[in-house]
Amino acid sequence: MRDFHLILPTFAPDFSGVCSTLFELGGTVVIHDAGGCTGTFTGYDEPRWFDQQACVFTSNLDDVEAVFGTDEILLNKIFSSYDYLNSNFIALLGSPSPMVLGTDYKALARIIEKKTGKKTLAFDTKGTEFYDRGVRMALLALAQNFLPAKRDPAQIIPRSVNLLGATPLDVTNRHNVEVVRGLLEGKGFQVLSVWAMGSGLEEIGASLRAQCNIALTTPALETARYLEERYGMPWLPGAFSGQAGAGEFLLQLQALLEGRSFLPYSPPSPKGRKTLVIGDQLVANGIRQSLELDLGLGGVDVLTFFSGDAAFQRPGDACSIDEDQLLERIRSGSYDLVIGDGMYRLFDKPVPCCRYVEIPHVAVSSRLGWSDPAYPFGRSFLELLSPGPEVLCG
Amino acid sequence: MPKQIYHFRLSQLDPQAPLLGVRGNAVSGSCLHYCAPSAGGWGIVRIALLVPESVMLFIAPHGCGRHGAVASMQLGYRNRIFYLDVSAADLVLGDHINKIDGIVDYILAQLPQKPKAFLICASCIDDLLASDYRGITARLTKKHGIPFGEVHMNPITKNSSTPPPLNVQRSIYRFLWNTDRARTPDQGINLIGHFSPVDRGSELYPLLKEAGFSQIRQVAACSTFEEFMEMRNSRFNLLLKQPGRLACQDMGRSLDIPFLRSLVRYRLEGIAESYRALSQFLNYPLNWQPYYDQARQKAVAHQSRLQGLRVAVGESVNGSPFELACALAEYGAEISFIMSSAVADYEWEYVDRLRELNPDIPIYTSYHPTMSTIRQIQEQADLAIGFDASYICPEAKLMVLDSDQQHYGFEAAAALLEGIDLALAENVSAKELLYSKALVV
Repeated sequence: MRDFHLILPTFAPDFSGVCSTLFELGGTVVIHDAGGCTGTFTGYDEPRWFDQQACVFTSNLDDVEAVFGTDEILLNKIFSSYDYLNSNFIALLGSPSPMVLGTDYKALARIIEKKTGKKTLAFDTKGTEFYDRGVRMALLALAQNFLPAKRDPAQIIPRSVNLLGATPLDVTNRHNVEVVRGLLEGKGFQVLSVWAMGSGLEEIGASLRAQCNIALTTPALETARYLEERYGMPWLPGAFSGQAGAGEFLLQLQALLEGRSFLPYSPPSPKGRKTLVIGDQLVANGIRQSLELDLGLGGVDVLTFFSGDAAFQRPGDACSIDEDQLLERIRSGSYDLVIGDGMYRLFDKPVPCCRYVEIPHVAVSSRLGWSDPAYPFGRSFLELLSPGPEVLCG
Repeated sequence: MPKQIYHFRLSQLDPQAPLLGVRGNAVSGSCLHYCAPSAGGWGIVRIALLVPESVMLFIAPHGCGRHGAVASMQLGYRNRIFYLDVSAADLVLGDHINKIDGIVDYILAQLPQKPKAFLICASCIDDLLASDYRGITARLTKKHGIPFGEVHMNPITKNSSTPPPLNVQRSIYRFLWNTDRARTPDQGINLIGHFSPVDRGSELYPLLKEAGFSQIRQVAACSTFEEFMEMRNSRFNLLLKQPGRLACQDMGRSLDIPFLRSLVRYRLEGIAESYRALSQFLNYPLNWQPYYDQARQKAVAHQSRLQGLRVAVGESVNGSPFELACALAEYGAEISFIMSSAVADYEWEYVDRLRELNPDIPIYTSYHPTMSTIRQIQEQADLAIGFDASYICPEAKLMVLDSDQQHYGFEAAAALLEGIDLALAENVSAKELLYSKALVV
């Protein structure tokens, strides 16, 4: 049943996506809500919250403020807090209640920026959309507000890249990002910035010096395309899983930077039962690439509960699925291997008919998965697959 | 970095002082709120599901339901709660309301057994839209033959006279009078407001039995819905924690069950006082003196260990942080700091007592924006009681004293002293323990 959760928890919402993206950038982030939405992000969508400081606040909206529509209360709270905090920017986010009230975040942001002199970003987040929309909005806002007007060709550093779309909601932790960085640096590429784990606003501001961009996750696609259109920066969707899988991507990257054409490989034909990969579309596609090139597996389908791009979809793939659609696929008997968040095992009951390789997706499993060290990048991914996908359970 | 982390001194806490905000709030003026990693409690959903043999349909944008959903999986009650995502289009058209009947039918068809009660939980936006959940639940009760109750997870009403922690308890106990069943008063007494059964070692049980109460009822100890419904037959209600106040008032009006506020305390004299009041209320002289004497001996025995021990008291403790701080100071400890976001009316007595002992005790508020800029405050402590105190004083040993365990009476004072000994002897990871509790904001 659409929009109904019988088995899984509800997923990370759009305001968590924005907050997660802006977390390390030294801004003052204000979620206009009564407190619960902010508590969802801080307690359940942000693994860094306990150990790292960040200025993410709730406006503590109450019913009187809501009914009388007194935006001055919110503005005064922001101005008074501004006395205490030294921020690179201010970000104002929405939640369900102010959405119902028709709150004009852009207008409020203009007022705040005029009064404080600080760049103020407005995000029309609603709490009714998923995190990927929030990450998409935040990445684009960074590109539109913190980059120079023009790209200076003389400053471009050869064999340098930016990684776009890194948030714990998709890649879990900094270590996983460093694995990707290591893969690139191992082949002589230089990672100038990571949007947005491990790089500050200054590094992101200098991103135009990179030769190209790599979209690590699906929410980064819009920003990659924007940077191509605005600044002529070429880009690729990343694929960093496995050895041959990641190797194929690195060859493709090499060809792009050298201005050569690149012939994509032909996927092997399916033999027998298939493999299902569930997660962010680009990350899952990278996993598929490794299964095909490292293990010669054909018949790999990619599913995601979140948005996807038709350009990167194959027959058998599906985006924006619901629980019923996943249940149908898993119980169809067509798959003998499922790769994705450990929570998806819950669909394979009472007698499991698939083998599972668990890779946490924090946007789904929240804190129940974020301590799991498994990650889909590099050669370590292949170790997760042993003893081999041909072993069946059930 | 701000010049100073926002805090008061105890001497500055005065109900007449212009520095204080609305209704004794410890922060002057309104401000953005910081959601510390230590923030959170049981949450509305978990509290409502204290009703035994019940299930819940949570109707809200999925961003609202997420923390409760993950917490329910962590704590093992996910099979009792179902989530209907509400989209922006639903809100405009009211479609989410139209879906309820079909979803309820679907849920009941999926369950191996029909639940004894069904809770429908709405969020802030349905408050703003004035959605009629009272009417919906009445209709569904008639349709399905089991009681449906409405619950509201609506922090937007936190500054109103019916904030969520009080309102959810009304939702729970409404089942007791919102029924056609006749009430048959018996020799029972209810304990109201808390979430876990009062510790079996509490003297409250033998004292009440001695006073002639054959049934001492509390929702957390009920394993069946029928057992829970028996609470409507009790003669008296004892309010152990403030959030149960409105529910007690409702039961007074609807079931003629009078109540006495007899809150959790840790000071021996305060506990003695509460038993005197209870004796008067019940018109029966409770023989609490032996328990007092025992507790007094224990406190004296602990005095040498507590003398000079620097203790920080969090707002998240099970009880009043000011009352607890008073108790600890009287037992010999030194209070390093207290966490508080608002001083309740009944707490001013303890503020005054503490002021006489040490007017310079700092009062911190975990939600002030300046708290986002530091990892620890300058004050030091040997022991921090409560996750909030522990988070800003990470070098201190942690003692939790939360709602997962309910101590009462002189037993609470003893548990406090024993708990301090245990905490000082152990090395727990505050982060691991905090996340294991699945607290929600």
